[in-house]
Amino acid sequence: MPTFGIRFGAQVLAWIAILTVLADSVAAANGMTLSKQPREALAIPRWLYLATGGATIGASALLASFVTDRAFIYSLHSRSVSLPRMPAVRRWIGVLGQTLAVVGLCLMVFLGYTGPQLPSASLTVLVTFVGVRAGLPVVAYLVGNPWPALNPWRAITTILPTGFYEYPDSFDRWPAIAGILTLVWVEVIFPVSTVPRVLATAILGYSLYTIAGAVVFGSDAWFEHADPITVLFRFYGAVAPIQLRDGSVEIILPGSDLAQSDVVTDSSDIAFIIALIWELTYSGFITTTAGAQTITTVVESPLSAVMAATPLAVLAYTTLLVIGYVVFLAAYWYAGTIARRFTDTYVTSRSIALRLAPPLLAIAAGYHLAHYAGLLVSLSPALTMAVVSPLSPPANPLVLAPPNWFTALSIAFVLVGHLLAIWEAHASAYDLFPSRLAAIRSQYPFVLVMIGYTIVSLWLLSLPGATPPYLG
Amino acid sequence: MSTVQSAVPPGDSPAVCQYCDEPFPTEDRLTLHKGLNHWPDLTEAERTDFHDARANERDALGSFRLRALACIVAVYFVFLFLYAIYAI
Ligand SMILES: [Zn+2]
Repeated sequence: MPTFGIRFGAQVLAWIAILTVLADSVAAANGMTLSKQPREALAIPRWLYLATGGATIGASALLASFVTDRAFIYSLHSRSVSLPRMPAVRRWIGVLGQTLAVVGLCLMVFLGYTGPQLPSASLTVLVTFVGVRAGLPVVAYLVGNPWPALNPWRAITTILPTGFYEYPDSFDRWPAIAGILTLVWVEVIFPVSTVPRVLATAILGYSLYTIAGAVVFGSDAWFEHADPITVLFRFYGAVAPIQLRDGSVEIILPGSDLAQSDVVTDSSDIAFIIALIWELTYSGFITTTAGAQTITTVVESPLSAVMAATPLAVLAYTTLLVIGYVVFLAAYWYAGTIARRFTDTYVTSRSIALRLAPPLLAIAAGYHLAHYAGLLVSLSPALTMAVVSPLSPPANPLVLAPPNWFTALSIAFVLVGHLLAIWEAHASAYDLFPSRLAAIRSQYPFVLVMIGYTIVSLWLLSLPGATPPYLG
Repeated sequence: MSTVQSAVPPGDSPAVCQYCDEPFPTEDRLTLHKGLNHWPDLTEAERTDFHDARANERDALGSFRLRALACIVAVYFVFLFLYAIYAI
């Protein structure tokens, strides 16, 4: 059959093209934050590369709609293996982990002020950025949430008097959203990833803030609702295959808890999840040439007559952070409204948005892995050495250069995150609507939003890296 | 299901589930809901209704699948041509 031959040949060609793009388009993320080396040009036009990514998501959503067997979806999502409870072992792991974390926290602050001021040799910087910013979230979404066994601030509050005021219900998780955006802002504006002394001060400030909060409102309420780091790990942990349910440890299919209704219970939870996605997009954007150009344009605009360059740049970074977040949030919220109109249902758009929000965590996890895998690999030897000998770290630690194909993985991570999100949203919608056609139709606006997110993040991955201008 | 909230626009006459008071815009959706969520409580007539609604839904899904397949094939060929023209 000659037509078969042509089609097969064309298909092979297309795959070679795709793989070439994957292999060539991105180079390693390098340095402590997300600053990148200049990258090679694309082998295909950028719009085609972006369209391919978007179409992959759209086509997968259509493919997912072929799975219409409720029983099959249910059985995949309720598959779980319970591990032995071993409460004593778990308690000891918690005590050990928290003790180590408290000692580590004190050591990090101490060494931040007294230790070497070179970031790649500083325990403070390495543990914060390679350990907590890059490493622990990876553990949280690929294995299980490790934070409850580590949280040093919670451990400290157990010896303090706590709970003078009732945590106001109306606050929900909004303080955590303000907290996470503030942390990202501090990470961008201040040289926390390059000057250990500044980072130690930031850690000290955060410790005071979160311990004060826990003392005032009670440890349980504070860390469940308001502490941004604890909330972040709780959400990333929802993607993981290992889950803690009613005190027993269960192994489930990765991500299958995202179709549950108890992961997201309030609008502020949606806002937090969108903040996770936006946070990674934002720090990706400002470390590319396009991001640097945007800031430079603002600073060199007529506005520079009114303000000095640095405050204007800070203002530009801040405005971008806030506006971008509002746009991402509005896009998702609007999708909920459209979904309600599409499906002709009485279920409120808020309920639809709440129910379809947890799958977005898979997207956030994919972004996080895409952005931080390179950093994690290249700096883990330095982290190991700094942990092994915190007081006398080697002056010139080993920094690995991840191979080129490693960054092709970034694109794969972004896509896999979205595919998992599509699948879990499909399952959620089936749970929400009695009519399967309505369930499928409710997905359209959310799939469009996901295609938008994918294109934005694939675009970021294809841009050459740059150091954010006008900052320290 | 406790977290799901519904709002009925004024002037609509919803089909309300007699087991859990949830409103639905059409009888069909209500029938499907009752079959999925209250199966043990249903009368024989309601079960027959459910099976009919299921059959209708299956037909609709079948035609939806055909259209989805057509979309996927179209996307596939569009990209095949785009790659043939623009790649390398
Ligand atoms: Zn009912």
